[in-house]
Amino acid sequence: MILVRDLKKSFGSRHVLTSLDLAVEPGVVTLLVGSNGAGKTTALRVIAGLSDPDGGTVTIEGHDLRRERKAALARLSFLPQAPRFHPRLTVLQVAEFYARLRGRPTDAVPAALDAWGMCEFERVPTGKLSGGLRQRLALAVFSLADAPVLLLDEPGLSLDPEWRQSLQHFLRHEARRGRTVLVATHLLGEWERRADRCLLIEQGRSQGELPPDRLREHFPRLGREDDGGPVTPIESCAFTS
Amino acid sequence: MLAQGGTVKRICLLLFCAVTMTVNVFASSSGDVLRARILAAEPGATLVVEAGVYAGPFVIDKPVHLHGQPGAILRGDGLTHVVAVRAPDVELAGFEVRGSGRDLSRDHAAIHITGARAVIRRNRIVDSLHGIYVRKADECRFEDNVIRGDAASAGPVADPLSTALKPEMGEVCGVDAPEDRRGNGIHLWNSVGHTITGNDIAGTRDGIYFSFADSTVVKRNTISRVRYGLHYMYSDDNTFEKNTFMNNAAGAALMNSKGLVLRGNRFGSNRSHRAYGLLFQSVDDTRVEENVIEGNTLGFYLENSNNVVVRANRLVGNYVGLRVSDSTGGSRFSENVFRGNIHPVETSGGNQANAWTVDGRGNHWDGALVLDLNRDGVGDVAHREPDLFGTWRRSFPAIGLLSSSPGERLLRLIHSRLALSGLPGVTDPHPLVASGGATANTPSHSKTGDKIAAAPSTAVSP
Amino acid sequence: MNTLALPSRRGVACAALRREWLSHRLNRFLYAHLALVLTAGALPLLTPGDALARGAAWWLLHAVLYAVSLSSLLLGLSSAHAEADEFVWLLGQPAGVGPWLGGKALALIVLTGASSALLGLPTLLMGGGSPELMLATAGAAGVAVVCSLAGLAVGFWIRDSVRGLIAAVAMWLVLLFGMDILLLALAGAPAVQANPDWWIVALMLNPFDAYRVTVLFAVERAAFSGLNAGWLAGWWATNAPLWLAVLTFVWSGLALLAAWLGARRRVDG
Repeated sequence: MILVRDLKKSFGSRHVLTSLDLAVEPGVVTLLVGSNGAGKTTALRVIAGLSDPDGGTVTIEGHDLRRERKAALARLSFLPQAPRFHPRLTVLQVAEFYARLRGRPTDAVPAALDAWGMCEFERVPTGKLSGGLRQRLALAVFSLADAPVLLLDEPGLSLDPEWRQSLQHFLRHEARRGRTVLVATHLLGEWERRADRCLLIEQGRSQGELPPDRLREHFPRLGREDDGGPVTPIESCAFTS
Repeated sequence: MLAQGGTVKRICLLLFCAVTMTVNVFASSSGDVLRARILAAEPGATLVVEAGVYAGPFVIDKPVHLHGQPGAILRGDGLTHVVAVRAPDVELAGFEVRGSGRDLSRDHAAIHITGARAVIRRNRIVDSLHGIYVRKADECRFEDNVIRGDAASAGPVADPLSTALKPEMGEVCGVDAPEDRRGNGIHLWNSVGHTITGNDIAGTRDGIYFSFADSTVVKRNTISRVRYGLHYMYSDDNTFEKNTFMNNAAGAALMNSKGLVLRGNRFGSNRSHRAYGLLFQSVDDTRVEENVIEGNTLGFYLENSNNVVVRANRLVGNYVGLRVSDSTGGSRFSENVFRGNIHPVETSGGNQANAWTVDGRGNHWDGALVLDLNRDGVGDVAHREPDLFGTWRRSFPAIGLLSSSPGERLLRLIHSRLALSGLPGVTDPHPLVASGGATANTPSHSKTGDKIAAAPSTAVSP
Repeated sequence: MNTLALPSRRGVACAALRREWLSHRLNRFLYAHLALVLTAGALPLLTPGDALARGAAWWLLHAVLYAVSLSSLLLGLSSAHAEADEFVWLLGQPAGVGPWLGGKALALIVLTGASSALLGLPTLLMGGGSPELMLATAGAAGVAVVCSLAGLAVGFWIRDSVRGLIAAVAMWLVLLFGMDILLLALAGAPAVQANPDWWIVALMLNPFDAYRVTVLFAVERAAFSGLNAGWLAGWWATNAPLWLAVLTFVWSGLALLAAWLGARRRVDG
């Protein structure tokens, strides 16, 4: 469960989050959508503890992020946008390091890598991985945490359709296990009918919810996309809400 | 039992006293015998003295030759000189001489000489105030004597850094040490024409003391662990060759003299905070050639000294290699090697009263940018050796903590290349190119102790 | 679910240490640093004969001032910047930055400190070992550690690689030349001459100067004419190794603190 109340964040004179309120329930996949600059990434970074808010509160599984940071972060796994890793370390070394940081047994690493098709690359330095492979390694590391709250920032970028589908299956599976899943994306086409809720954020504040299976109606310029088909960025769509 | 123990002790004490008295009586009687032999000897006679202890004092008032066999000891009474040479042409050789009086005001010495042409050789002098004291006696010869002062067994002169020695503020005689209560190794006063060779002096106050002593030759002597290795004033036309002055507290100081020659000597490891390898104060018309001056606080200091020829010396690994006061003029520096000194030259002005090139040949400088297009071994462009600290060394001594710092080096490099005016330093119009083994066999920074130690000889750049 | 099975601080530190070691095994910068240190250590062998032992410390002084210090600084900087891409991962970990930084710094300290031993190794192997050489080498290790941790701090505060490099080199130049030149310029000021202890304190605080004074007066035992410059100058000259040890310890701590403050900065913007 993620509860965000009146979250504010500015960078100089630019107010990115003006008053964001969110309530993300466990057991469902929740999308956080909005145009570029709407504040999606900033909101996720604040929730993930990477950025200090100017005001407001973030509660993760009942733990206030400011007051009980360690307990809150212990219940959270965050997949940043376009993740990169120490370029000299191999896939296996990176995954094992984060397993240790999370107190997970390194025995769990091969299974996580296997789940994301990275076993055959485990000896490859991450600096030599393609964008898609890097994203899959990130997903393996992300899943290794085995946390009850999952935050993902544009997780489908760089993935080919097959792995994008696997990601969606994975998230739905995790949601069914009672996890809280929040995905920030501006690629609406790939998530239509695959999310349970869709929260709209614009100009740094919540703009209500959209029906996740009728995103096309709200964004008519989405076009005709099938699963894994071409992705239409949200900024090319006209918001109706 | 207790009574028995007391008896044994008394017997032992009596035995000890008896033995001591016997030895003294024997020495005393031996001394009397020797005195009688001297008294009876014809002038020019040679007396061979057997091994044994001979109680002094002895006064030799006729020209005789006393040759001590190994183990012959002349022992003073601790009240006056052990041997007083009062006649000319006396020879004293092969003795151990010990036990002079200790009254500095009476110049007590192991061997006190007022007779001309005395020959003092192969003696070992210990436990005395002065070793050899010459007073108004000319043309004496001192050869191969070993003179050990009271501090000879005290080890090397203490490292001022490790002992936190806090010397006096005096500029020249600023070493306040127990040496003041000791006598000198060889003390010459008001006399001429001596020859001093092959002596080994350590642990006295000063090694060789010259005062109004002219035309003397000093060769192959070794002087160490004293205050001034050479304490010298008002003495002209003397020659010093191949002597070694090492590990002394204040170095060698020569003052108010002229017509000297110093050649092939080694002045090293004189390291108290105002020590000098070699100090000239008001020394004129003198040649300083082919000496090695290394590991001293201040290698060579010329103050108010004129017409001094300084040629082919090696100034190596000193804190300051050469200090030339403004009052020094007409001196000529050539073919000297400045290597590994933390500050090669200290001066307060432009030093234009002295010449840094003689007959087209300058000196070897560390880090000099030497251009020698015609390959004649002489640089084609002048070398500027700036002194960044200048007079701050005295007005702000803490500046010394910046010695060898990269910032100081950088500024020195810039000043040496740009030759900016206003900064003290010297300019060598014709610096010499690579000195050919200049660094070989040339250790520099000295540690205390008997050996020359530590060699930043290759590392100190401009 | 095993959500609260978090590792101990020690476990995180060990993981970071292990990761740093793995990372540096493939770091060309480290090999360049090692080659530099070995070359610098071998330079005294060029000193002929008996002068070998006596000249080694003097070589070390210059090698440390002009090369090893910069190399260590850049090693620390590269270590920090190698993590730049992962800050978003690292900062989001519940264990926090402290243990991770502790392990990383420890690895760096071991690497730079141990590699500094190579400075004295060639001379030692050639029979030129001495307590003075050990002192100079230990001091070199201290300075190298301070520099590497300073590089780490710079890298965490300035995460852009180019700007970080410029800042690190600028800092090195200031420490190496700038402080000395500034103090030299100030030495003539009447206020400074009236209160030399402040001037000396400023000099003492620079680890490069502390190492230089140690080698000059405690190792080389260079004769020094400034002993009457006040009790502080005398104390420093006579206790230079002790001061260097204290200073490197304090500077290492401060650099580590700066690195921690830099690393825990959020990845805003």
